[in-house]
Amino acid sequence: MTSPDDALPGDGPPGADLPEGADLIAGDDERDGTDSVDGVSLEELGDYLDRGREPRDPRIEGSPACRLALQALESVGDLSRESFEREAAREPHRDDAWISGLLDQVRREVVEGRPVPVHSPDPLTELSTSEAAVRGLLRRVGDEVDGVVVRSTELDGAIDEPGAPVTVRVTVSARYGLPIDELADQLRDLLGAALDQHTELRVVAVDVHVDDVHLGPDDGSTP
Amino acid sequence: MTDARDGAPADDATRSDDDLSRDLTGVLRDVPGIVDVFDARPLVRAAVRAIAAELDPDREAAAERAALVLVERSGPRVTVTAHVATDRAASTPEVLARAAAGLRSAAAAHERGHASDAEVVVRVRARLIEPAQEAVVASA
Repeated sequence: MTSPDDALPGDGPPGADLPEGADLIAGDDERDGTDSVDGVSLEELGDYLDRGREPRDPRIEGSPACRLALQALESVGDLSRESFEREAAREPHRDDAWISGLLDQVRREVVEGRPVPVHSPDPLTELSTSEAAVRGLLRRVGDEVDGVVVRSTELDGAIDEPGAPVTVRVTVSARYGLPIDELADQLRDLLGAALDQHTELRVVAVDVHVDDVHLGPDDGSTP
Repeated sequence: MTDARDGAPADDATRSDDDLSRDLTGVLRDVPGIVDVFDARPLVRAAVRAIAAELDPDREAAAERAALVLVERSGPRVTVTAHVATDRAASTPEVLARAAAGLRSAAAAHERGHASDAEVVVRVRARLIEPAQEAVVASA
């Protein structure tokens, strides 16, 4: 675990607006469908968000993967605009790698993935939640914690087998100066509660990794 | 070409299943805790509908929104598959169970109405968990 005292804020995610960040992985050479979400590039999703999701695009709103990506992009947009503009101006090259890495991870996470079964007493009824929905929930819960930006989520274990032990791994960036241990405890509690409410996974551990720090909106240019 | 029900012509059966899909989609939208319904039909079929919607936006878009549950028949069995978004404030397993019960009841009634005693299999998957107020915006 990284503490705020031994990591430089400059290592963290400085900001760019969404379309620019999305451009980093949706460049001209890559617009072949492999970098898209259900056929929609992250750049298009960023533009759509910037327009306030108007006019409504049924191709985007009708896709669970696009909706999950929109949720994540919204968080990136918030942090870009509110927290990291100063750093972007200071060290713009760091921004490229950080934002592109985060968006790349988001694109991987929104793919439907494995079914997470939900028990039904009726043998002719099959209930499940998609792995992407669960990971989207984890990302959302984490991003809502003040000072946290979720970088990645993982569900380790046979999540498609009822009762199998599952370890949840969430990697985050924390705002500079926050007490990391308390933050990790808070995250662990919230993530565990969300999983209890929405899944029947047998979670044996929730591992929270803080591997980066970033400046808050009111922080100075130097810590 | 006939389907498994009473030797009915396939076109009639398709139309009937489209009606069933629309009915079931409506059932889902009324289930507490379901905040949106996604298209569960195969991608190719959904893509054809999407193109039709572009050609005739008003009529086809309305139809597109209305029939999102996949209805499949195989022998004496009808399988209905639904993909939904659930309200983050609710319990997703409970919402899914309610949705399945509603689908089963409506599908069984439909089959009885067509003099069919087909066994009904219900599959419901949550593809998204989000606050209800956001889903209202998305499906407006």
